[in-house]
Amino acid sequence: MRWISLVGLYIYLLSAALVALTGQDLLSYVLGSVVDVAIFAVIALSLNLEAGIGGIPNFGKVLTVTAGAFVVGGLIPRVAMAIYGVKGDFVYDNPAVVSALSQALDLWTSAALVSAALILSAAVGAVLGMAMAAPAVRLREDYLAITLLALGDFLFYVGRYYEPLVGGTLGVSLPPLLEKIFGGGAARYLGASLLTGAAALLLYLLTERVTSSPYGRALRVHREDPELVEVMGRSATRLRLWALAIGGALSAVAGALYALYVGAVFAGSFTRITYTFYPWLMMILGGMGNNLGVVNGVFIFVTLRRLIDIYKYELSAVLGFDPVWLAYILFGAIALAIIALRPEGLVPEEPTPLAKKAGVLKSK
Amino acid sequence: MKLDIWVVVVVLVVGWAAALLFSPHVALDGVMYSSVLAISAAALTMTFLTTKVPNFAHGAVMGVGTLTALVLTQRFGISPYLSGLVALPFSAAASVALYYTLLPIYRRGASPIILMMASMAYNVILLGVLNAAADYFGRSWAVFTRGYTLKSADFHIAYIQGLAVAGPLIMVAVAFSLYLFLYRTKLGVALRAAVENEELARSLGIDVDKAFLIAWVVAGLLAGYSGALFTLYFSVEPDTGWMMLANIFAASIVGGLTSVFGAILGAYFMGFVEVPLATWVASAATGEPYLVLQYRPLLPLIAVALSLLVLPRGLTSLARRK
Repeated sequence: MRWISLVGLYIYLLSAALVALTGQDLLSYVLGSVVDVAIFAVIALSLNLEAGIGGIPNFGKVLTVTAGAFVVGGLIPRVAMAIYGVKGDFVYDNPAVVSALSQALDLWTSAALVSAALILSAAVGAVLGMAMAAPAVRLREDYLAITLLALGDFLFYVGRYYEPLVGGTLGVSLPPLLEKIFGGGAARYLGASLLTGAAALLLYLLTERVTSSPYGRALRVHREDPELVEVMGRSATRLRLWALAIGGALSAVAGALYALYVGAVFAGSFTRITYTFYPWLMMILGGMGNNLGVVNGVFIFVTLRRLIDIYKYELSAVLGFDPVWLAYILFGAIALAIIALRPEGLVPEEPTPLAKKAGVLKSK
Repeated sequence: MKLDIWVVVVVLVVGWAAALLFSPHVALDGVMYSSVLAISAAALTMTFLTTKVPNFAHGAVMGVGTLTALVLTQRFGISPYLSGLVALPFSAAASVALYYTLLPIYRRGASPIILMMASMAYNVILLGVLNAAADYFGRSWAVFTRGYTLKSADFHIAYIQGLAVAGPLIMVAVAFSLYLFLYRTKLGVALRAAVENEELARSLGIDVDKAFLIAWVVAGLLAGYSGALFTLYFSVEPDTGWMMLANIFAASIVGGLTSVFGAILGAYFMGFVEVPLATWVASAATGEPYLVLQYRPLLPLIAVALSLLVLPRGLTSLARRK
């Protein structure tokens, strides 16, 4: 394995050393970044499956991420209310309902609810992904990109204006599911990091499995030329449908994990920039088509974001503006430099087995 | 029966006339919105014609105009129509910088996805710069740079807000200048030739790069001014153009993405659907139209999908070829 294959991890470890040396809270830095890396890794991997490997320009990634978060924010608490017979309206009596639920919930019900949340969000994400495949049948990739970009904002607006779903602009607090499983205080954050980290690792292995399967190879062929897939006797339409369904399910699980971790859902926070553009930029930074590369891109991105966050007071004193905009500028610039100078990304996609064999023959 | 474009135009004109007659307040609101949208959609279409790739940074280029108008009008008390003009060199520069960013990537024959990503990365940078500038000017000049409208700085004719009159006039001036430029100047004709067939244009000795550069300058000017005009319509932020990207795409796509005049038609179509028509339908359907009308941002999203699936080449494709 070449050193560059883990470049993101090295950069992250350096940043952790920097944080420790400057006397900041290392534990909270690490725990917070584990969650960030895990969630963005799952989203970026799902995007890599669709766009990097399958060549489907899904510029509406935010849609399925939001769907997962809305399952956790809009559905699961109501299921909990039904189980314990808690009266009231979850959105309009939010604090009262949450406190009643936190009295009632026990370990096993919480664990069951969290599992149900992840399974349901995967199902909803898969269905939405399939729906997104419908326009892909007829549209050229640039038109498809615009369509998916536009449709991507659908749930953002619905969530913001339809208060009964997840509380509109005010948002909703969730019942303390993770606290009931892992305990309160620091234990909750440790548990949440472990849960999201483990889930991300599992989903990474799953994605690796999918992409190296015959289906994954067919998807790579689809990226180069959809008609070639038809020649192989596979249906390109069905191939796209599955790619978007799997991608939708993965990213919805990421959205659900994020909502569980935060413990609240604000529809307004599910913006195109954070959940469509950023995963795209992470993917191109790491290397389109290469799962490990994409994870490297995620590490670099999260490191940058967390560092800017941890030193925001120092930075804003120097800069004279909110350092969050510095993150925009830096991250956009890094991605643009990669696109211009090294379009295959930091960790390029490995050649397909067919091409490898051809190379061997030639060298002989 | 094949629907002719003139049928659509006549229906649209009748619709707007009926709106002005029966609910003038709503109609004027729609006129303001459509006029600004038309200028912006014309600019977006212009960039699409050159690189054949959707420009995701279009909204951020509009933001240059929005922010400049917000800051200068509050600080120096000049009219937003004027401060929008001051923004033009900046928005044109932002547009040209994007063109020169995309050009080498376009030249090496990168896929449309890569070009879209490049415009996306540029968009993120520009939004960062705009918001940083908004923070900076907000603090040091004590002006509002977010959630603020310059409506009160607009002129009024009787009870009619200035933009409802000035908007269509500016739009007509823009359309007329674009017509003169594209059809009556050598450079404009060269640009149209380059858009039609780049290789052929090159072989005729047309400087395609220069023609495209001019297109991006014009697009930057129009985007910046439309961004400035939006300060007169509603509460804006530096991100407003970016937030409205789907609305602008909807207008361009309904117009067919092949002609700047189609985009203007598309803008008045979308404006009619989003403002007067939506208001009528909402009032007819429920007792509380304002509750329903908050979902208005969904209309452009649906329009983009429907238009591309049903009429992928837009309203202009209905024109009969003779």
